[in-house]
Amino acid sequence: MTALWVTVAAMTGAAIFVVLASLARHRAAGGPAEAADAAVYRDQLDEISRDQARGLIDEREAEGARTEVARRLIGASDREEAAAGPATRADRRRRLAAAAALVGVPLIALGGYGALGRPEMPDLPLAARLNANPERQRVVDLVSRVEAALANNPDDARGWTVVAPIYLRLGRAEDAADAYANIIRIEGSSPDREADLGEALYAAADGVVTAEARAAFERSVKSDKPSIKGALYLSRAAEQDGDPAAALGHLRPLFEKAAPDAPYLSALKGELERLADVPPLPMPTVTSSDERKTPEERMAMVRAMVDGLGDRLAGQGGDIGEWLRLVKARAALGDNDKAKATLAAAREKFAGDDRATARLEALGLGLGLEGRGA
Amino acid sequence: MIAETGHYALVLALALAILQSTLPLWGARSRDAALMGLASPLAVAQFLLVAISFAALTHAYVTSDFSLVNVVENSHSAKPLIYKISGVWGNHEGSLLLWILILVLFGALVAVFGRNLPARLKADVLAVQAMISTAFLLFVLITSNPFARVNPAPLEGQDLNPLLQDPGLAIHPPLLYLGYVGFSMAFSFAVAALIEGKVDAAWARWVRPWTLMAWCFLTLGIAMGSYWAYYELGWGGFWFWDPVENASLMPWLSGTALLHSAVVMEKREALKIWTILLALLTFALSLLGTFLVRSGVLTSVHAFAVDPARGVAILMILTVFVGGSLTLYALRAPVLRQGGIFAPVSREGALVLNNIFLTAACAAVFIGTLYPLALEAATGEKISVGAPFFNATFGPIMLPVLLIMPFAPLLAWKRGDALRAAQGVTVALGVAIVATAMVAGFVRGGPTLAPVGVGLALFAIVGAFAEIAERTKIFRIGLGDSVRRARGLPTSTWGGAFSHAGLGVTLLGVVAASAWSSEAVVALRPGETVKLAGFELTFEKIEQRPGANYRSAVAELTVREGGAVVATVEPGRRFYLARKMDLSESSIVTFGVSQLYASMAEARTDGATGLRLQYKPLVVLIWLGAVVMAFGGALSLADRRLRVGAPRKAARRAPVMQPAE
Repeated sequence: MTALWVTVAAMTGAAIFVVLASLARHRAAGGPAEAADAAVYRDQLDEISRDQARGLIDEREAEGARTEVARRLIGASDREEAAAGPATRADRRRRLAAAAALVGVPLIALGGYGALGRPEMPDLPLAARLNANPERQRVVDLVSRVEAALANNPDDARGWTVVAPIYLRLGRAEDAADAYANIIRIEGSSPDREADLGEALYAAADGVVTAEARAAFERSVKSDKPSIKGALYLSRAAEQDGDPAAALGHLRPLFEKAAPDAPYLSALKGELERLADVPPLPMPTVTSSDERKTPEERMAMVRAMVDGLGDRLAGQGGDIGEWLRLVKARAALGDNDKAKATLAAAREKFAGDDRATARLEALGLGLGLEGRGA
Repeated sequence: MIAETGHYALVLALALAILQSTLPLWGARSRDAALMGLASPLAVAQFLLVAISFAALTHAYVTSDFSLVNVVENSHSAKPLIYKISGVWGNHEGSLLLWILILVLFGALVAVFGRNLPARLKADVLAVQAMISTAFLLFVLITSNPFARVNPAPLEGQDLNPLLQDPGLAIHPPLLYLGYVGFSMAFSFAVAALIEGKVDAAWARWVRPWTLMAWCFLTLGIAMGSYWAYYELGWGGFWFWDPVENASLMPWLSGTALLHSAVVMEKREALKIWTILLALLTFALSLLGTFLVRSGVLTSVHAFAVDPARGVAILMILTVFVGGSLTLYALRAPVLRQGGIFAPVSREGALVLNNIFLTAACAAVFIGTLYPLALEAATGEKISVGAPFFNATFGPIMLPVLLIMPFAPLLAWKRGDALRAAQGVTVALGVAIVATAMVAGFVRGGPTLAPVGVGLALFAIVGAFAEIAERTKIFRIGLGDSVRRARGLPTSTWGGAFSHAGLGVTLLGVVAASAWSSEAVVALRPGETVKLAGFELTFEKIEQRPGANYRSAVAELTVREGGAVVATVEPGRRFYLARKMDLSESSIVTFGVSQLYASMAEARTDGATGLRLQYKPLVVLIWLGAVVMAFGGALSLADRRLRVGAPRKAARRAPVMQPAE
């Protein structure tokens, strides 16, 4: 970064020097404009003579042309004499020009660059980045070797199986999708393969479940051993369609069937909680007097706030977001019974609203307030 | 650091451009040599800075620095090196940077080689050039910055559009831009002349080399683009009347007119005001061309709405430069005194006719190109103006140009003798009539008017040398004397003849390739044979070939003529992995100036391979003609009188009466 600023300073300095040096070199005087014009006319006279010598024009024409050019030449010479005016106020002009160079150039250049440039960012040539990360270099080498092999033998399912997850990690989601499609082409469909394909398509579409991806996920949950990943993504698709009830419909059976120590259970709970879409808790404003409070006192303060919200909702009612927030807050404080009661009250209150009901149920499942183990 | 250095250099260049567009202009008004003298060093410094910037961007492309958004969007680490380099200008931002580089290069050339220019004219010209570069630098920096960074940098780029992954990209845009931007010199000279209120023969003499050079490059650039489209797009057309092509044709037409009217002005001081107007319009059309192509207006009017900042900036630059220069023209043109008068039948008269028809042709192209855009913008209705419109308007307008072309050089300045000129072209006319009759009699098929087209083309080619025949008195005096006379002719005479002949050559190619090409669209299996224009093509096999960043399938066909193998064609299709694009890669074999053109259709399900095979007689002449035209231009450029101002040398030469060399 220092090197950059040195270069910047050097370039700016050189630019200013160009202006100042040029100003110093010149004496303020009238330009040779008219003299040069006259020279061109003399050149033309010369050409007329040449044309005549070659027999391209006859003498009469040449004479006429000469007269005309001579007339112009005299005009130019007259102007040349008239042009040499006095050079007044030249010093002031030059000082202004020098000021423009000294102040204006750095102002525009540094100001402009300051607004547009990213001086803190180094060059990031690919080769250097790969060298700096030998692990990555090995991966890239591996991928290119497998790719070369696959180009000759595109029916090698093992090759595709090796590169597919790497593609996904390297951010080449479309290639990953291609690879999974090839695996399915060669080895036939299976729930996991379809789910992987769907996931790659999902990543390639920047986190949108496209029709193509959805079709893959649907194939992945069709068989008697449905893919969990597929179901999770189908729920996400329903969620993107703005249909939390349908999304919940995909997750509920998974949740119910899962073994208590199933490795994906926590992921599932997280997904459910996300689906509930609880608005973030408002941060209580911390005043200077609060800072001196003990943790217990603060806890009591939070409890008071939550209870306050509970009373308000019970009394005046509130929107679904506030109810969700209350349930979550109470569960977080460890008041599982109160949380359950709140949830039940909320479910009763929003009984007619499918979306709200689905969100409440998702939250209940995600927090473990309802369903298994509740 | 290199990328950021390039970025800073670009901003610094803007700062210098602002100084250069103001201080010398002020100096010229107050007759201050010190301020006027700033123009040259500033122009050179500005060029160096933009060159640093361009080099920095190229470096980022070559090293696949994906922390630059522009590199991510248009490059890929697996791309061959040549396309990494040419990819620098294969996109909006980079091509604008190339545009600016050429613009400031010309400014620097004027600064370095224009020592003999009158100081005030030079200061004004460089100031106007700097105004153009200021506008473009601002445009690039604010709306289309090639140095925009992205953090964290992606590991791989999105690759260059496969259509552009071709050697054509390395040559075509730079040539075209040298042409477009070269006309900016004519523009700057014209604006400078309007500011000074003085235009004369000397002015024309300084402008003409720049216009001529720009014209040569534009001619080659258009031809190159046409040939590229011909072999890349896979169906063998050479001119599509596509708006992007029209955008380059318009400045070529008005530039051609400018070139001719500048001759009148230089020789006779006539047509001053008209020449200035043409200089302004030619550059305006170049700007329009650049923007039409680069802004995405052409693919859809709505592209303006996609990036409003870019669209508005484009409109502002166009408005300021076109509107500003035309306003200046309206205010100052009456100040310019008109020069020599001439009779209708004279060299001047013929050149005026040339100008009228060329500008009319240009207007026809302009309407055909922009009317659909305007209509869509105004009413939302989409219409397509295609070849029929241009054939019905452009063709008939260009016809008189071709007919007058051989006569004009034979007419004397001021007052010409039509009869003598007509006698001069009798040979050409005879050749044309005989050729028309022979073609009509012996060549089968093709449209009825095609033989006439051949005759017209030959009339233009042979007629182009009528002036030289006349002036060397060939066949009327001894051959030795004629050769001596031919050597004595100014190179610009030869240049004019070659340029005119080149147009005829192109016309001949267009007529023959349009009228008598034959085509076979077939689906073949290995071992099958198809006949086309006297050739037998046998489909041998189809094979997969991997490429650096694509997979390809290539078909191999053996071409036999009368049983003997004369060539092999290998059309194929490439699938570009990063962009997921499937492209045809045509295969062309040249026989003399005719070509056999093979391209592969998209994959079929029945195992056969779809092929499009074409035989195009004389098609190479289309581009060869353009090369001949540009060669003529280069000859003209080499003419001593056209060297940028030569007062010192001339002064030394003046006392000696020069014999014909």
